[in-house]
Amino acid sequence: MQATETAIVRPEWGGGVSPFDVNWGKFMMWTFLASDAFTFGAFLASYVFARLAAPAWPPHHAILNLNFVGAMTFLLITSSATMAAAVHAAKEADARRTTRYLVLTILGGLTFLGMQAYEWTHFIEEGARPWANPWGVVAFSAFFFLITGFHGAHVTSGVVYLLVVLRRTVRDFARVDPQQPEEQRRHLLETAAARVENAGLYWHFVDLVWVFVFALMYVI
Amino acid sequence: MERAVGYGLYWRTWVWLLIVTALEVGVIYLPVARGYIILAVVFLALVKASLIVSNFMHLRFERRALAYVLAAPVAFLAAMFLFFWPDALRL
Repeated sequence: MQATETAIVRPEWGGGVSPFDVNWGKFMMWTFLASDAFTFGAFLASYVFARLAAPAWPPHHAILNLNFVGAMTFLLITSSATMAAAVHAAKEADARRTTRYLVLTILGGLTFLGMQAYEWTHFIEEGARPWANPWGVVAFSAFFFLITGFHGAHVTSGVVYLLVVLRRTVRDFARVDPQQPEEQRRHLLETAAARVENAGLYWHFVDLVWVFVFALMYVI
Repeated sequence: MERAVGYGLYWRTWVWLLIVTALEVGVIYLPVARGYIILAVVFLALVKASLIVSNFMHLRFERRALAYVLAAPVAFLAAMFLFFWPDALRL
Protein backbone atom coordinates (compact mmCIF):
# COMPACT_ATOMS: atom_id res chain seq x y z
CA MET A 1 0.00 0.00 0.00
CA GLN A 2 2.74 2.38 1.07
CA ALA A 3 4.79 1.62 -2.02
CA THR A 4 1.86 2.21 -4.38
CA GLU A 5 1.16 5.56 -2.78
CA THR A 6 4.72 6.81 -3.20
CA ALA A 7 4.77 5.62 -6.77
CA ILE A 8 1.67 7.66 -7.55
CA VAL A 9 2.42 10.71 -5.44
CA ARG A 10 6.05 11.37 -6.26
CA PRO A 11 5.93 12.05 -9.99
CA GLU A 12 2.78 14.06 -9.51
CA TRP A 13 4.08 16.60 -7.01
CA GLY A 14 7.77 16.35 -7.90
CA GLY A 15 7.52 19.00 -10.60
CA GLY A 16 7.28 18.91 -14.35
CA VAL A 17 3.61 17.91 -14.39
CA SER A 18 0.37 19.63 -13.47
CA PRO A 19 -0.89 18.02 -10.25
CA PHE A 20 -4.32 19.61 -10.67
CA ASP A 21 -4.51 18.70 -14.34
CA VAL A 22 -5.99 22.07 -15.33
CA ASN A 23 -4.64 24.84 -17.55
CA TRP A 24 -2.96 27.77 -15.80
CA GLY A 25 -5.83 30.11 -16.64
CA LYS A 26 -8.33 27.90 -14.90
CA PHE A 27 -6.15 27.55 -11.82
CA MET A 28 -5.63 31.31 -11.64
CA MET A 29 -9.36 31.88 -12.02
CA TRP A 30 -10.11 29.52 -9.12
CA THR A 31 -7.45 31.27 -7.03
CA PHE A 32 -8.96 34.66 -7.81
CA LEU A 33 -12.45 33.41 -7.02
CA ALA A 34 -11.27 32.04 -3.67
CA SER A 35 -9.88 35.49 -2.80
CA ASP A 36 -13.06 37.18 -4.05
CA ALA A 37 -15.06 34.84 -1.83
CA PHE A 38 -13.25 36.39 1.13
CA THR A 39 -14.31 39.88 0.05
CA PHE A 40 -17.95 38.90 -0.14
CA GLY A 41 -17.59 36.70 2.93
CA ALA A 42 -16.29 39.66 4.94
CA PHE A 43 -19.16 41.86 3.70
CA LEU A 44 -21.79 39.29 4.55
CA ALA A 45 -20.17 38.51 7.91
CA SER A 46 -20.24 42.20 8.88
CA TYR A 47 -23.81 42.56 7.59
CA VAL A 48 -25.01 39.65 9.75
CA PHE A 49 -23.02 41.09 12.66
CA ALA A 50 -24.73 44.47 12.29
CA ARG A 51 -28.12 42.83 11.98
CA LEU A 52 -27.62 40.66 15.06
CA ALA A 53 -26.36 43.68 17.02
CA ALA A 54 -29.24 45.94 15.96
CA PRO A 55 -32.07 46.12 18.52
CA ALA A 56 -34.63 45.97 15.71
CA TRP A 57 -34.45 45.49 11.94
CA PRO A 58 -36.67 47.38 9.44
CA PRO A 59 -39.54 45.32 7.93
CA HIS A 60 -37.53 44.58 4.79
CA HIS A 61 -40.21 42.34 3.26
CA ALA A 62 -42.50 45.35 3.15
CA ILE A 63 -39.78 47.63 1.74
CA LEU A 64 -38.08 45.36 -0.80
CA ASN A 65 -40.27 43.44 -3.24
CA LEU A 66 -39.40 39.76 -2.79
CA ASN A 67 -41.27 38.71 -5.95
CA PHE A 68 -39.27 41.17 -8.03
CA VAL A 69 -36.00 39.98 -6.51
CA GLY A 70 -37.19 36.40 -7.06
CA ALA A 71 -37.47 37.20 -10.77
CA MET A 72 -33.91 38.63 -10.69
CA THR A 73 -32.74 35.41 -9.03
CA PHE A 74 -34.49 33.36 -11.71
CA LEU A 75 -32.69 35.38 -14.40
CA LEU A 76 -29.27 34.93 -12.85
CA ILE A 77 -29.74 31.17 -12.35
CA THR A 78 -30.96 30.85 -15.94
CA SER A 79 -27.99 32.82 -17.28
CA SER A 80 -25.72 30.51 -15.30
CA ALA A 81 -27.36 27.50 -17.00
CA THR A 82 -26.94 29.03 -20.47
CA MET A 83 -23.32 29.80 -19.57
CA ALA A 84 -22.73 26.15 -18.64
CA ALA A 85 -24.29 25.19 -21.98
CA ALA A 86 -21.96 27.62 -23.79
CA VAL A 87 -18.94 26.01 -22.10
CA HIS A 88 -20.13 22.57 -23.19
CA ALA A 89 -20.76 23.76 -26.76
CA ALA A 90 -17.30 25.34 -26.92
CA LYS A 91 -15.72 22.05 -25.79
CA GLU A 92 -17.56 20.28 -28.59
CA ALA A 93 -16.31 22.95 -31.04
CA ASP A 94 -19.92 23.85 -31.82
CA ALA A 95 -19.51 27.48 -32.92
CA ARG A 96 -23.20 28.19 -33.53
CA ARG A 97 -24.35 26.98 -30.10
CA THR A 98 -21.42 28.60 -28.26
CA THR A 99 -22.31 31.97 -29.78
CA ARG A 100 -26.02 31.53 -29.13
CA TYR A 101 -25.61 30.56 -25.47
CA LEU A 102 -23.02 33.28 -24.82
CA VAL A 103 -25.40 35.88 -26.26
CA LEU A 104 -28.25 34.55 -24.09
CA THR A 105 -26.01 34.71 -21.01
CA ILE A 106 -25.03 38.31 -21.75
CA LEU A 107 -28.69 39.25 -22.29
CA GLY A 108 -29.58 37.64 -18.95
CA GLY A 109 -26.84 39.63 -17.22
CA LEU A 110 -27.96 42.89 -18.82
CA THR A 111 -31.60 42.30 -17.86
CA PHE A 112 -30.52 41.53 -14.29
CA LEU A 113 -28.61 44.83 -14.18
CA GLY A 114 -31.60 46.70 -15.58
CA MET A 115 -33.85 45.23 -12.89
CA GLN A 116 -31.30 46.08 -10.22
CA ALA A 117 -31.16 49.68 -11.45
CA TYR A 118 -34.96 49.78 -11.21
CA GLU A 119 -34.88 48.34 -7.69
CA TRP A 120 -32.23 50.84 -6.56
CA THR A 121 -34.18 53.75 -8.08
CA HIS A 122 -37.29 52.70 -6.20
CA PHE A 123 -35.34 52.27 -2.95
CA ILE A 124 -33.63 55.65 -3.31
CA GLU A 125 -36.94 57.36 -4.07
CA GLU A 126 -38.28 56.02 -0.78
CA GLY A 127 -35.48 57.91 0.96
CA ALA A 128 -32.82 55.20 1.35
CA ARG A 129 -29.20 56.40 1.26
CA PRO A 130 -25.98 54.60 2.19
CA TRP A 131 -25.71 56.92 5.21
CA ALA A 132 -29.38 57.33 6.17
CA ASN A 133 -32.89 55.95 5.66
CA PRO A 134 -36.40 56.59 6.97
CA TRP A 135 -36.62 53.24 8.83
CA GLY A 136 -34.28 54.03 11.70
CA VAL A 137 -31.44 51.52 11.25
CA VAL A 138 -28.71 53.06 9.07
CA ALA A 139 -26.95 49.69 8.66
CA PHE A 140 -29.98 48.39 6.73
CA SER A 141 -29.54 50.67 3.70
CA ALA A 142 -25.76 50.97 4.15
CA PHE A 143 -25.24 47.23 3.77
CA PHE A 144 -27.89 46.99 1.07
CA PHE A 145 -26.06 49.46 -1.17
CA LEU A 146 -22.63 48.09 -0.30
CA ILE A 147 -23.37 44.43 -0.93
CA THR A 148 -25.83 44.58 -3.83
CA GLY A 149 -23.68 47.33 -5.36
CA PHE A 150 -20.54 45.26 -5.12
CA HIS A 151 -22.36 42.28 -6.58
CA GLY A 152 -23.81 44.43 -9.36
CA ALA A 153 -20.30 45.67 -10.16
CA HIS A 154 -19.28 42.03 -10.53
CA VAL A 155 -22.18 41.37 -12.90
CA THR A 156 -21.20 44.47 -14.91
CA SER A 157 -17.57 43.30 -15.15
CA GLY A 158 -18.89 39.86 -16.08
CA VAL A 159 -20.93 41.25 -18.96
CA VAL A 160 -17.88 43.14 -20.29
CA TYR A 161 -15.72 40.01 -19.83
CA LEU A 162 -18.26 37.86 -21.68
CA LEU A 163 -18.53 40.38 -24.53
CA VAL A 164 -14.74 40.20 -25.00
CA VAL A 165 -14.84 36.39 -24.82
CA LEU A 166 -17.71 36.29 -27.32
CA ARG A 167 -15.80 38.44 -29.80
CA ARG A 168 -12.64 36.35 -29.50
CA THR A 169 -14.52 33.06 -29.66
CA VAL A 170 -16.32 34.07 -32.86
CA ARG A 171 -12.96 35.17 -34.30
CA ASP A 172 -11.20 31.93 -33.32
CA PHE A 173 -13.94 29.68 -34.64
CA ALA A 174 -13.84 31.61 -37.91
CA ARG A 175 -10.11 30.90 -38.14
CA VAL A 176 -10.62 27.14 -38.01
CA ASP A 177 -9.90 25.76 -41.43
CA PRO A 178 -9.93 22.10 -42.56
CA GLN A 179 -6.78 22.85 -44.58
CA GLN A 180 -4.83 23.60 -41.36
CA PRO A 181 -2.49 21.03 -39.85
CA GLU A 182 -4.43 18.95 -37.30
CA GLU A 183 -2.18 20.14 -34.45
CA GLN A 184 -2.81 23.82 -35.18
CA ARG A 185 -6.55 23.38 -35.49
CA ARG A 186 -6.77 21.48 -32.22
CA HIS A 187 -4.74 24.15 -30.43
CA LEU A 188 -7.05 26.87 -31.74
CA LEU A 189 -10.17 25.02 -30.61
CA GLU A 190 -8.73 24.12 -27.21
CA THR A 191 -7.69 27.71 -26.52
CA ALA A 192 -11.14 28.95 -27.48
CA ALA A 193 -12.86 26.36 -25.26
CA ALA A 194 -10.58 27.13 -22.29
CA ARG A 195 -11.34 30.85 -22.63
CA VAL A 196 -15.08 30.24 -22.52
CA GLU A 197 -14.71 27.81 -19.63
CA ASN A 198 -12.69 30.22 -17.46
CA ALA A 199 -15.13 33.05 -18.14
CA GLY A 200 -17.87 30.60 -17.17
CA LEU A 201 -16.25 29.99 -13.78
CA TYR A 202 -16.38 33.72 -13.09
CA TRP A 203 -20.00 33.95 -14.18
CA HIS A 204 -21.07 31.01 -12.00
CA PHE A 205 -19.25 32.57 -9.06
CA VAL A 206 -21.32 35.73 -9.46
CA ASP A 207 -24.41 33.52 -9.36
CA LEU A 208 -22.99 31.72 -6.31
CA VAL A 209 -22.53 34.98 -4.42
CA TRP A 210 -26.09 35.99 -5.28
CA VAL A 211 -27.35 32.76 -3.65
CA PHE A 212 -26.07 34.06 -0.31
CA VAL A 213 -27.02 37.70 -0.89
CA PHE A 214 -30.56 36.59 -1.77
CA ALA A 215 -30.84 34.25 1.22
CA LEU A 216 -29.32 36.54 3.87
CA MET A 217 -30.47 39.99 2.73
CA TYR A 218 -33.84 39.37 1.09
CA VAL A 219 -35.32 36.08 2.28
CA ILE A 220 -34.36 36.05 5.95
CA MET B 1 -17.77 10.10 -16.18
CA GLU B 2 -17.47 12.11 -19.39
CA ARG B 3 -20.97 10.96 -20.32
CA ALA B 4 -22.43 12.70 -17.27
CA VAL B 5 -21.24 16.13 -18.45
CA GLY B 6 -23.54 17.68 -20.99
CA TYR B 7 -26.61 19.77 -21.65
CA GLY B 8 -28.81 17.32 -19.72
CA LEU B 9 -26.86 17.79 -16.49
CA TYR B 10 -27.05 21.59 -16.81
CA TRP B 11 -30.78 21.70 -17.43
CA ARG B 12 -31.41 19.32 -14.53
CA THR B 13 -29.23 21.52 -12.29
CA TRP B 14 -31.16 24.58 -13.47
CA VAL B 15 -34.50 22.97 -12.59
CA TRP B 16 -33.23 21.95 -9.14
CA LEU B 17 -31.89 25.43 -8.46
CA LEU B 18 -35.29 26.90 -9.28
CA ILE B 19 -37.08 24.35 -7.09
CA VAL B 20 -34.78 25.05 -4.13
CA THR B 21 -35.20 28.83 -4.64
CA ALA B 22 -38.99 28.39 -4.56
CA LEU B 23 -38.66 26.37 -1.34
CA GLU B 24 -36.46 29.10 0.15
CA VAL B 25 -39.14 31.72 -0.46
CA GLY B 26 -41.83 29.28 0.67
CA VAL B 27 -40.38 28.40 4.08
CA ILE B 28 -40.58 31.98 5.36
CA TYR B 29 -44.38 31.61 5.46
CA LEU B 30 -44.26 28.48 7.63
CA PRO B 31 -45.80 28.95 11.09
CA VAL B 32 -42.69 27.87 13.01
CA ALA B 33 -40.13 29.67 15.18
CA ARG B 34 -37.93 32.15 13.33
CA GLY B 35 -34.77 30.27 14.29
CA TYR B 36 -35.91 27.19 12.34
CA ILE B 37 -36.76 29.32 9.31
CA ILE B 38 -33.29 30.89 9.35
CA LEU B 39 -31.69 27.44 9.64
CA ALA B 40 -33.80 26.14 6.75
CA VAL B 41 -32.99 29.11 4.48
CA VAL B 42 -29.25 28.85 5.20
CA PHE B 43 -29.36 25.08 4.59
CA LEU B 44 -31.19 25.57 1.26
CA ALA B 45 -28.68 28.27 0.25
CA LEU B 46 -25.85 25.81 0.92
CA VAL B 47 -27.64 23.19 -1.20
CA LYS B 48 -27.85 25.69 -4.08
CA ALA B 49 -24.20 26.67 -3.62
CA SER B 50 -23.05 23.05 -3.82
CA LEU B 51 -25.18 22.44 -6.93
CA ILE B 52 -23.56 25.45 -8.63
CA VAL B 53 -20.01 24.58 -7.60
CA SER B 54 -20.17 20.87 -8.38
CA ASN B 55 -22.24 20.91 -11.58
CA PHE B 56 -22.00 24.35 -13.21
CA MET B 57 -18.37 24.93 -12.19
CA HIS B 58 -17.87 21.14 -12.63
CA LEU B 59 -15.63 20.83 -9.61
CA ARG B 60 -16.83 17.23 -9.20
CA PHE B 61 -15.27 16.38 -12.56
CA GLU B 62 -11.89 17.88 -11.64
CA ARG B 63 -9.04 16.22 -9.78
CA ARG B 64 -9.80 15.80 -6.09
CA ALA B 65 -6.69 17.84 -5.24
CA LEU B 66 -8.30 21.00 -6.64
CA ALA B 67 -11.39 20.52 -4.49
CA TYR B 68 -9.23 20.01 -1.40
CA VAL B 69 -7.30 23.21 -2.10
CA LEU B 70 -10.56 25.12 -2.46
CA ALA B 71 -11.98 23.59 0.72
CA ALA B 72 -9.35 25.47 2.76
CA PRO B 73 -10.69 28.99 2.06
CA VAL B 74 -14.23 27.75 2.70
CA ALA B 75 -13.13 26.47 6.12
CA PHE B 76 -11.50 29.83 6.88
CA LEU B 77 -14.68 31.65 5.84
CA ALA B 78 -16.75 29.45 8.15
CA ALA B 79 -14.29 30.14 10.96
CA MET B 80 -14.55 33.88 10.34
CA PHE B 81 -18.34 33.75 10.60
CA LEU B 82 -18.32 31.64 13.74
CA PHE B 83 -15.80 33.82 15.59
CA PHE B 84 -17.44 37.03 14.44
CA TRP B 85 -21.14 36.57 15.01
CA PRO B 86 -21.32 35.59 18.69
CA ASP B 87 -19.69 38.96 19.49
CA ALA B 88 -22.69 40.80 18.06
CA LEU B 89 -24.92 39.30 20.73
CA ARG B 90 -22.66 40.59 23.51
CA LEU B 91 -23.02 44.21 22.48
